[in-house]
Amino acid sequence: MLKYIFKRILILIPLIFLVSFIVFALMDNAPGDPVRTLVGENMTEEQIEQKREELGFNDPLLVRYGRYMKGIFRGDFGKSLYGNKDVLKEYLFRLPYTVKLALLSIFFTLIISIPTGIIAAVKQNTWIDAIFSAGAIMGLSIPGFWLGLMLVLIFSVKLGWFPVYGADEGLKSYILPAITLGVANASLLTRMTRSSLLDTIRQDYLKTVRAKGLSERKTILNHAFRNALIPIATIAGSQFSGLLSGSIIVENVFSWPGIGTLTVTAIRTHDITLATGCAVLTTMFTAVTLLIVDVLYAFIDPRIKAQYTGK
Amino acid sequence: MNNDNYLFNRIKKGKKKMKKFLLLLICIAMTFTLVGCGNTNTGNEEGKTTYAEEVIVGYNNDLDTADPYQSTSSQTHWYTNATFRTLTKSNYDTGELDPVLAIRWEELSGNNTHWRVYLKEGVKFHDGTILNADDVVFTWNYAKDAANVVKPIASADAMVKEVVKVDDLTVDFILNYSIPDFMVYLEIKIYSKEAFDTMDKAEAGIIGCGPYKVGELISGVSYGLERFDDYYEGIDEFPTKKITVKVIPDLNIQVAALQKGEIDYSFRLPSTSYYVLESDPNLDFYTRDGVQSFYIGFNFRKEVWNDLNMRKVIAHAVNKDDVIAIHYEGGATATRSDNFCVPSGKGYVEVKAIGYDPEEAKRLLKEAGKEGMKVVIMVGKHNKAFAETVQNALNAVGFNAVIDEVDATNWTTLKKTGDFDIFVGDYASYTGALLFNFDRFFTVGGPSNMYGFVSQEWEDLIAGARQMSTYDEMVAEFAVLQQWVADNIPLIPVAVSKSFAAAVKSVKGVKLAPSDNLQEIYYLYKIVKK
Repeated sequence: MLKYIFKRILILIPLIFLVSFIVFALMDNAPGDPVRTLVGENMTEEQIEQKREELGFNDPLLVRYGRYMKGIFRGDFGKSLYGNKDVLKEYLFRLPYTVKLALLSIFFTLIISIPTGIIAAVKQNTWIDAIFSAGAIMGLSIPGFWLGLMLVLIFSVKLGWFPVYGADEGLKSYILPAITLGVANASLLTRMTRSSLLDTIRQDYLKTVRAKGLSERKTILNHAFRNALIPIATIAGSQFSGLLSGSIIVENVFSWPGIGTLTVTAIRTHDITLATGCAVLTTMFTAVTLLIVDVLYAFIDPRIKAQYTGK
Repeated sequence: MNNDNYLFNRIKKGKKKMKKFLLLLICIAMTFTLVGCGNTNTGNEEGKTTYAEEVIVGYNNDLDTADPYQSTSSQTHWYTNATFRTLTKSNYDTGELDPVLAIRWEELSGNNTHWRVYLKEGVKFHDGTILNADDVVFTWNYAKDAANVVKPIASADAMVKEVVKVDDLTVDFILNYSIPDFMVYLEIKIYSKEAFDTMDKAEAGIIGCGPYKVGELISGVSYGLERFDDYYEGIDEFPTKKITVKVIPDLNIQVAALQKGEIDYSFRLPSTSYYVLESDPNLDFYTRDGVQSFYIGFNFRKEVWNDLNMRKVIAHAVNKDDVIAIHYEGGATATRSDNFCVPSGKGYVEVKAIGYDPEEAKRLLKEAGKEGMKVVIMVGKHNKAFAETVQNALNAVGFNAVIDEVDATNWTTLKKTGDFDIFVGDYASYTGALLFNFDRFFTVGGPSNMYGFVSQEWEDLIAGARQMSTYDEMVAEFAVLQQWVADNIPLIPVAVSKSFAAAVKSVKGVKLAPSDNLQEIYYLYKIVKK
């Protein structure tokens, strides 16, 4: 198992190079001039050239990239073009907001999707199944920004139960953004749980379990559901890692100070250092999250654990 | 007897208990009174007005820096209006120049090339040091240099040969050429030199001498201002101890936050909310004329637009009233304009502009043999509806107009290099100085003349205006320049903005400025009790 984890961590190194280079090169080739964008209409051509030289923009792409990567491996992610802020500090300040929101959102996703998915599978082709399936399709179809705005209008402005914006009011601030983020994820996972469980329910070993006289509840929960968990965990893991990179729309609607808005602001303003830093750090967190999910498989499925241990 | 004594003692004890009980009641009442007044900073006596310690303002962008010369963003500009003071200040209500840190000035050469500025005595910076001539000399030399800052003092090297300290409170500006309105250019925020001598650049750059100092800055969440109790003009006008600006990127959410009372004030609101907020009985609504000009510009790098008749075609084709009706809420958020200069600018005159006449536009277009010509209209997202109205107007007279919507961050670059024909732009005149704005836009090398306008006639006119011996004479000359712009159409002015803001009823001290950059949120206060 340790060997596997070590291997996965090693893979991170080329991954970081690849991601950082792609982002760096894309940002460099994006239309517009970062220096002109930074200084607006306040400098003469001579001054703009001076600024470009000072900020190192006149060096070739590979030279700048090399300089940037050298910094990263020393733990220095550089300073943002706007406000000269330390990129790592800025990212780490925003990260807890995103992680907490992602955790709550995935919790919401799981508590909604697993029971509804199981019930829909067990009651296949009944009106309950039809309602849950329709609900899931609706949840997938509703645009996040619209849902967010509606939730704010109803629960914040009209009913006054939750704050309109920001993360200042503890758990209360998290509820609406978590629900907004969770609805689409829960809908997808409900459908996944249903189909995965339906596949398992048809397996022969469950007939044996039932023949032994085990109750239907125990058959489903202890035997069928456990075997159906692997694809569910895979999707949930991917959803969680997706949430960790921040949701731009939801963060924007709820004025959430997460890394989604930070990354988008960096891209919009052509801040190459900040944008590349955000991409690299998000890649690292996502890779680690996916690794944790993979390790969790071993606890869900003994066959996978046996592969790791070679037994 | 014993019984009497017993009864007497019981009564006595009862009275003592009653006294203790009454004492306790009084204590509780006093405690509640004191606690009740604890949230406010003044007037805890009965009948006096008490103010909230904090006022919350909403804005859609985070503060990138609190150093006025390290960012070109609006929020840095208006935030540092509270933390810094300038030498002079153009009064956006009267168009006149007000003294601030420069209490008076005089021209010594007789030809507007030697200006002496006298500084206010006893002005304290937030680091405790006192303003003197060294601070002014340092600020000028430091902030004019693009190597030190992101937003250097405009045209500093071109205008000024040397800045010299005469004594602790007197500074001389020796100019390269005659500038009758030079003092207008001294609306510059002054740094503390000693702060730069003793601190690192990032710390020193936020030390000003304004009524508020930099408060808590929480990335992506809020940025605060804390009252500076040693402000040189006293703090009587500033009862609020702390002003917090909350970052609310979605403007509609900002409206909701205002209506729910989660923020106290906002001046950055969507134009679509104008009528909603105006009629909200729980809010106070403010509106005023703005200083932002909305215009149609030309790409003079393309030969076709150097032909005055082709520019006239565009001017005749576009009905400005349509633009106002569609894009500016029927005139609520902007008014029609024929002059690029804004009415509040000193020396503004009414000009006779080339008006809406689609038949004449068709005739001129046919005469030029350009019927069916493709016209690319470059526009940023916020002016899209404006551009669409222009597109329809141009198609109606025989052009094939298409819209190229570009990202706001690429705007400056594309204006310089883009392959467009015309563009829809806007410009906020911060200083109100007409010569400053004319120079920027129409003179060769002007920082906003990115679209390649060249006219020797204009260069001669502007040089002549500079030779005027007094500011007033120069202002009179501006009338000629304004009409020249209207006749020669280097751009087509369409509208001038109107600012609006809303505040919860208890918030007072609203000084709504004509543009974001000029806002002065530091006068806000919130009445808790009267």
